[in-house]
Order: sequence, then structure tokens, then C-alpha cells
Amino acid sequence: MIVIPQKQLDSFLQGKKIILQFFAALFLLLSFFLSSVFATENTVYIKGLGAVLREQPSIQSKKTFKLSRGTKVLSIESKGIWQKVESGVSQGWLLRGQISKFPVKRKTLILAQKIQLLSASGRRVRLRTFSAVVGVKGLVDSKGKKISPYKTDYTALEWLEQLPSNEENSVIFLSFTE
Amino acid sequence: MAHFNKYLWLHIFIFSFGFAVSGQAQEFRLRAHHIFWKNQEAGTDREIDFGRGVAAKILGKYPLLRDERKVKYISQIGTGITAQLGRPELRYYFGILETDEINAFAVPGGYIFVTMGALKLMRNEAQLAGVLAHELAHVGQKHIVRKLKLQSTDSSLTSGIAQVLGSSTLASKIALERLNDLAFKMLMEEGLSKEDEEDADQKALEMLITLGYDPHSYLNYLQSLKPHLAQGGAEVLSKTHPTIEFRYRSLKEFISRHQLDNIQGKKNEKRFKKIMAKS
Amino acid sequence: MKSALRKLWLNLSLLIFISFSATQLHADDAHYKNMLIGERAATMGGSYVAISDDSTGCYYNPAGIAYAVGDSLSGSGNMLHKLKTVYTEAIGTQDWIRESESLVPNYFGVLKKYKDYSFCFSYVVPEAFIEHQDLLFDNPLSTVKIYYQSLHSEDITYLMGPSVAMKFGENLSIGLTLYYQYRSFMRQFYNYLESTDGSYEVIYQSLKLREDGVMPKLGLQWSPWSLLTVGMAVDQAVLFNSAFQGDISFHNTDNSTGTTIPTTMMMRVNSAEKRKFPLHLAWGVSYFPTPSLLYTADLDYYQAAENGRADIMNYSGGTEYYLNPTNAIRFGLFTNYTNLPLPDSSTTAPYEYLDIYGASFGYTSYSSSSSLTVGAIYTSGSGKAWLYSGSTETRALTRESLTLVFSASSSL
Repeated sequence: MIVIPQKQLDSFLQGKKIILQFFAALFLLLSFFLSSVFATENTVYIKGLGAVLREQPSIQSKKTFKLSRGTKVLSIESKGIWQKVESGVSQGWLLRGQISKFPVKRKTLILAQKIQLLSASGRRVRLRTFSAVVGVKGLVDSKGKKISPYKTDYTALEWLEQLPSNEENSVIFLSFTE
Repeated sequence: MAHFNKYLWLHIFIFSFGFAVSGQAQEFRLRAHHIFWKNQEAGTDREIDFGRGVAAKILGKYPLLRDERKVKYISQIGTGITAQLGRPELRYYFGILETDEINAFAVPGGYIFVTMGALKLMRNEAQLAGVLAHELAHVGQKHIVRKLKLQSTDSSLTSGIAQVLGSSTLASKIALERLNDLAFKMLMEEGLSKEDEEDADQKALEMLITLGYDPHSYLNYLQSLKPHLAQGGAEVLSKTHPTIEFRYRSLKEFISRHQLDNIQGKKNEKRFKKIMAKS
Repeated sequence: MKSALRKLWLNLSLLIFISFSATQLHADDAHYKNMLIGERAATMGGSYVAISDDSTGCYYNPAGIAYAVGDSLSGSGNMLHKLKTVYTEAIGTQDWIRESESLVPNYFGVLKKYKDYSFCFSYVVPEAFIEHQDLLFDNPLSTVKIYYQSLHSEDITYLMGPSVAMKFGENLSIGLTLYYQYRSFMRQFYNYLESTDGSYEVIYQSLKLREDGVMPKLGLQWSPWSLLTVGMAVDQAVLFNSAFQGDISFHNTDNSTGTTIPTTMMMRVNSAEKRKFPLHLAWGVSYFPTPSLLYTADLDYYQAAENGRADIMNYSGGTEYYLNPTNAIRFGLFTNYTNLPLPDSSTTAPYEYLDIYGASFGYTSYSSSSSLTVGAIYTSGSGKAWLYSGSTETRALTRESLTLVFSASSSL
């Protein structure tokens, strides 16, 4: 390595105490942060509706506990597509597709979707969102030429959006086995 | 200066190793605030706003099937999947397109479409669930949103869609319309990358297993697509989906790698056929 | 008594003469780390060579900007930089205290990415030493009636220039910065001494220096393993122009022998002698275990280019921790060793041997496209000063400083 000048050596011997303090501080910081950091890094949230914890990482394994959507849990271990989590007292395995690293947000419905859901009677309602207006009028540029060459059908889309849907019932419907 | 020259060569030697090391981008450099805002940035309502525009264009090209019984069935299966494995902040809509083309579309914001041609090819509910799960994976992984961002030649985090949607000037409305066109064109003509399709297949398989469906049914469905490609009856399919052969082999390898060969699951053939039969 | 006074008298005046020559003009060029620069780096002890991945990285290691997350600009400043130097019992039995205070915007940078390249333009103030002092001593010694000193000096160095970085694959990058370096120094010193026998002395000194030069900086960054980066940067400033002018006028009367003997003198000195700068090599290593935490350590080696300077090594290290995705805190430690050689029994004035240690702390608040940082840097050092020419007498020397740092950055 580079020859440390004589001056540095003397300074080092004199300042040894300070350097030791330097490293001691760094080490303490490291251990302090590491312990708290790794705890937070493994916090995950249940995004699935009604996630079921199992004893072992396999479909055949016994169900132990059911966690509701949005629950904050600690991720402990992972094995292939399975993840072991802990929530307070209970712990178990669930499929990683049911976990999200980010907190669970409520359902977002934009104005157009909301308007159509409210007026299922079929009455033509004033559409205030931009995209809906475009559908009705068609966007033109400054020369009056249509911007988009593609046709749109917002009426059909609105029909689709006003169909009722219920998450709990759908889950039950899905779980049916012949 | 003598010191420097001697060690310069040592440094060059050490750093030349950098050339040899290939691999992933330095994602570990991203700090917590980068990741946080990356997740927030598109904003769900903006994504939905954007997605509606594209969905409307799809419905402008293919008529929507108004058979409530069939649509309700697809919707229940689809919603059942999304309730457990989808993005909880989105409300998903499932529609059937009246066309003999064999295809399925996933639009940002939660709009999923399957064609009658595809439904006619399916044998059981597990295959339907697989196709829906595949499309859901595209929405969940934001493949389309990311691909659009890449095409807008700007890699900064707050660029592209988020900016366009946030603004209400005429210029940005025109830009939004163009983005919609781009997304529509991508779905119709280009399709997503091989890697994204592979990723969606794998996620779909995981979802099927989670829900207790037979994963092999999905594989069989992919197989059944092959003859239709050869006949040219689904030209659009071949353009928008990378070789079925590649996807099939890739999925088979995924199954054996994660030792999923022996997993059994339900097919619900009777229920599926019952609903699909009536027209 | 009288001879002691005479000696003091002579010492003080000679001090002024000695500090006349061009090489001794420094406000403080015996230390390389008087100012910490940058939003993140300043609060991490200035340890940034292996990170350097944002618009403040253009100064530390241009290679790092190849890994910037997006286009951005940032500006930072030292809101309040208070420096206090105490020479114990330097004037009679009283301490000589020199204080300096400055408010310096010390960094501005803009970064733009284009494919595998990154470009940056930055403006840096690595040295800013502003001193205004008026001291009045009554009877500092039994034979001195009044001693008055007024000192006003400003010594500021500016760097500005472009940087470019290129990626080679995903794990190696190389960068180059080319700075134009400009230094402006001025000092006005006035000194009045009246002794009890009626003798007095008046000295007026005005110094001016302008330096123009370039400072190229070459950097490399490498990631040998995931989560780890290693950086290296080398730079050396070279002057192409230096203009010094010094004026001194001196008038005194000497009543010590009973008769008044006046002396008057006026002198002007010009010099174009160019200062030589050390070769600076910096190595850094950074470890990024999680998106919320990182550790970094740097080594700075300076190879002296002038006689009378020593090669030195400075150490620094820091850490950054995110309390949550929108709030982060930083901490750092650093050394700021003197580049003067170890004094020995023959060392005479002017000479100041002072090693300084520092610690920094900072807090940043993040929003979707911008961030705001506040922080503080504290340094402290002690050593010895040789103040009186021809004498090997020393005085204890301590220096303490507190700097409040403020900076902001925004993505473009």
C-alpha cells in the first residue's frame, strides 16, 4: 500500500484514541440500525380477501388461521411460492401472491365509473370526466381534424361498468369444487 | 508523481474486472423514497382514467357481448380471483368480445376482455381461470404501463403518463389521446415482450395453484392454441403473442423447477360447459 | 522590560512582513476539508466517492452520476459557518481570538441523463474564508498602552464546469469533470500600537490575489458484488494565471532612548508566481444493504506538490437511514489533517500545526419530486502555533466551527 508518511504514524499513535472512538461509534450505529432495520424491511401486508394460513407450505396442509385484507404481518421465511408470516400470536404459511409489500389502499373508482354505477336506470347522464367527453364529442386538433383514427364505444363500456359485482360472493362462487 | 504511476496500473487492473462482470442494473442504489414514489406515481385513478380510454377503443373495434349470463359467469370467476390475488385498490371489469379471434386483453385500470373465439376453445373452468389470471398478471405487474413509459424515451420516474394525466391543458389532452392510441396499437398489433408474457404465464400458474385449480389445464390450453396459429386463423394472435411454443416450453420448465408436476386441482368442467353451451 | 516590549514590537511588525510573500497568503490552505459540499455528502462527513449518484455527485466522483435515477438539480449552502480560532496568551497575557462567519451558497448542480450517458454542470465553492476583526487591547503589557488591530480578509475559491459519465455494462462507469478554478483573495490589515513611553507604530497592509486555473477530475465506479460499490477519483488543479499585489506602509516613532526617531516606509510587491496544487486521490466504498440504509467510507490522499507541504491522508465515513420513505437521517465523521509537515525543534514562525476532526448530522424530507435537507457540521481541533518570527516559542491553538447546512433538490 501507499507508504504512510512519518507524520501520519505519529499522529496516528497520538490520535489512536480518537480513531478508536470513531470506529466504536460506527460499530454502535451499525448494530443499532441493523436491528431495527431488518425488522421493518420484512413488514408486509395481506392483499388477498381472506387469506388462509396453513401449517405447512402445501395446499393439503391444515388451515390454522384466517387473516383479513390489509393486515400487517411480519415475513419470516420463504420457500418457493410459499411465504411464512407472523401476525401477533399466530403464524403460518401462505402463498406469496396474497402478500403485498405496500399498504393496502381502498378501492378507487373514478368519477365516470361512479356516475354510471349510480344511474343504472340507463338515463343518459352528463359525463364530466375527460375521457368520457372525448367519447361523445371526439377530440379534434386546432385544424379541426380528429386526433385519433380509432373508434370508441363508451356506451358498451358503461354497460359493462354498471353490472353488479360482489367480492365475497365471487370468492364463494370460485371456491366451488365439482 | 512516482507513487501515482506505480499504483495507476494496479487500479486499471482492478477496475477492468468491472467489464467482465455482467448482470443486473444497480437497483440496490434505489433509496426508499425512490421506490415509494415509483409505486405511488402513476396513481390509481389516473391509471383507470387512462385504461378506460383504451378499453373504449377495444370496444370500438370488437362488439361487446351482452349475454348477461355468460358475462356474469366470467365476472364472478374473475372477481373471485382478483379479490384474493389482485390489486385491492382496483375494481376489475370482465367483458366478452363477440369475435371468432382467439385473444384476451388486459387494460391498465382493471379492464379484462376475452374473445368468444378463445372461450370456444376452452374445455373447462380451470383454463378460463388460467387465461384470466394471465391477463390479471399483466395488469398487476403494470407491464403495459411500463412498456409505454419505455417508448416515451424518458426514463425519469415522474415522466410520461403521470404528467400527461395530471394536466388539463389541451396539449396534454392531445398527448393523452395519443398515449391511448399507442396502448391500443400495442395491444392489437405488437403485443408485449416475450419476457412479460413468460412472467404473466408463471404468475397465472401460481394463482391457479393458490386457488386450487388444476395447473395442467392451462398448459393444455396453450397447446390447443398451436394448430390455430398454423392455420393462420389467428394472425392477430401470432403477432400479439410470442411463439406459443416458447411459452409452453418455458412454463413446463417452470413447473418442473418448482416441483409442481404432481399438484392436482379442480377443473369444474361441468359448470363451465353448462354456461358456455347456452347462447 | 523595555527589551521585552521592543521584542514584542519587532515580533508583531515582522509578523506582517513575513506574511507578505505569496506562498503565505492563505487564509487556510493547510487543510483540504474546510467545507463539506452537497446535500447528502455534507451530512455524511463528505464521504461520497462510491455513491455520487445524483446531481451533487458531479463534484465527488463524476463516474457515479451514470447511476443517477433521473434528471435533477440541486443547490446547497452553508447557512451559517462560524469559525473560531483561539491562540492562547498570544497578545501579552490575553488570547488572540479570530472569528470568521460566512453565509455561502456553496453548490449548485444540474444533471441530465441521455441513454447510457449522464451530463452535469456544477458550480462549487470549496473554500470560503471571510474574516472581519477589530481588536482593541488596553495595557496588554505594562509597557504597552494601546494595541489596536483591524483585519478584513476574504478568500474564496470557485469551481465551475461540466461533467460527463458513461456506463460500461451495468457495473462499471467512468466519468470526467472539467472545472474552471478561480480564486479571489483580498486582505486589509491595519495595526496601531502605542507604548507607555509615547512611541507608536502604524502599519497598513493591503493584499490582493487572483488565481485562474483548471481542475480536471477523473472518476471510476465499480460494483463488484450486488449491494457494494467501489469508487475512485483523481484530480489536480493547475493554475495558468496568478496575479498578486501587495502594498504595505509602515510608520513608527521610537522614543525608547529619549529622543524621537521616526521611520516611514512604503512598499509594493507584485508576483505572478503560480501556486502548485497537490495530486488528490480518493477511494471510497459503499454498502447498500437495504433501500433504507447505506454505509460509506472514503480515503483521501493528497500528494504534495510544493516544498514545505506533506503528503496526507484524510478519512471519512457516513451512514444514511430512512425512518420511512419520506424522511431520512444521516450521520458522518471525518478528519481534516494539516498538510504541513510535523514541526521539529527548529520550526519558526509563521507556522500553525493543527489537526481537525469533524462530525456531521442531517435530516432530509422527501416528496415525490423534490427534497429538502437541513443539517449541521461540527469540527474541533487543537495544536500549536508559532507566531513570533525568529522565535521557537509556541502558543496553544484551538479551532472550533459550527456550520448549518441547508440544501434542496428537485427532479426535472
